[in-house]
Amino acid sequence: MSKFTIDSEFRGIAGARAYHAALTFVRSIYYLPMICPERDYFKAVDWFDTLSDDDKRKMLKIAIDDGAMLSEDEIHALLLFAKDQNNVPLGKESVKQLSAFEISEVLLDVCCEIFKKKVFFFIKRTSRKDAEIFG
Amino acid sequence: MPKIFQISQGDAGFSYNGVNYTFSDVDTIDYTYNKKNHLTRGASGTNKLGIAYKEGLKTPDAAEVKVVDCSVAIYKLLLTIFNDASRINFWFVDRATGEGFTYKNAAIRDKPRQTTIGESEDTIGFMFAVECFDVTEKLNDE
Repeated sequence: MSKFTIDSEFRGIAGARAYHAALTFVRSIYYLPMICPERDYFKAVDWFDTLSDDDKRKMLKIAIDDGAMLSEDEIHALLLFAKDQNNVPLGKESVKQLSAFEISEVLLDVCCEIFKKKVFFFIKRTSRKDAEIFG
Repeated sequence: MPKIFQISQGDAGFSYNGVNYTFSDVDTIDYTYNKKNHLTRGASGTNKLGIAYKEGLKTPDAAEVKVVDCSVAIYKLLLTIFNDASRINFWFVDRATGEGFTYKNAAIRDKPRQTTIGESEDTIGFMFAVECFDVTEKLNDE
């Protein structure tokens, strides 16, 4: 049981930054062929969206533990949505107390909360024809 | 009058409700030590040993901190602690000497006040003061 409370609303610029940071993990899953069954990016997107929350968590854990490297800003963007017992978002004043493993666990919790909603909604609206044009 | 000491290169932080917070940038820390020993003797002035007595036992020690570039969330937390008159464990370290001070069960004496505009919308600079009776001083003897 995590000692942090994860926000369920990801609003504003901070929410957008967190969302894009979380997408980095999903992209890293796509680049792991032994994990992702699809080689077509759009099919991989569909595949990830159809996973259950538990399976998404398993995939994201692999990505966080072994895959993607985030910049410091991206890590902070995600940690902002985890709050401690005093309802203070994890920031530079408190993150120093956490080990790398604890930080990974918080990142995982925040990403899972973000991906409880549909992930690649903007691609789903794009027709295959458009995708071919842009892709 | 208590003597006031100032640290210009120091680190500081506090713990509240089991969570530790370390300020990322501290401008200055002013602190006082109120307890003093005095000697007195009778009006005849013949006693060369005198009688020792202590002054300032009822007055808490205090520390005033100027924090720079701190999260607004931490500022708001300190405001809440001030309004509720809750206690914190406050600490600071003199980076020049390695000397460290711990103020256990300290009260925030002065309401945290913003002093500077932060570099981003999420950070500000502010100052606040704490008072405490249970002060531990750790010398760097290495």
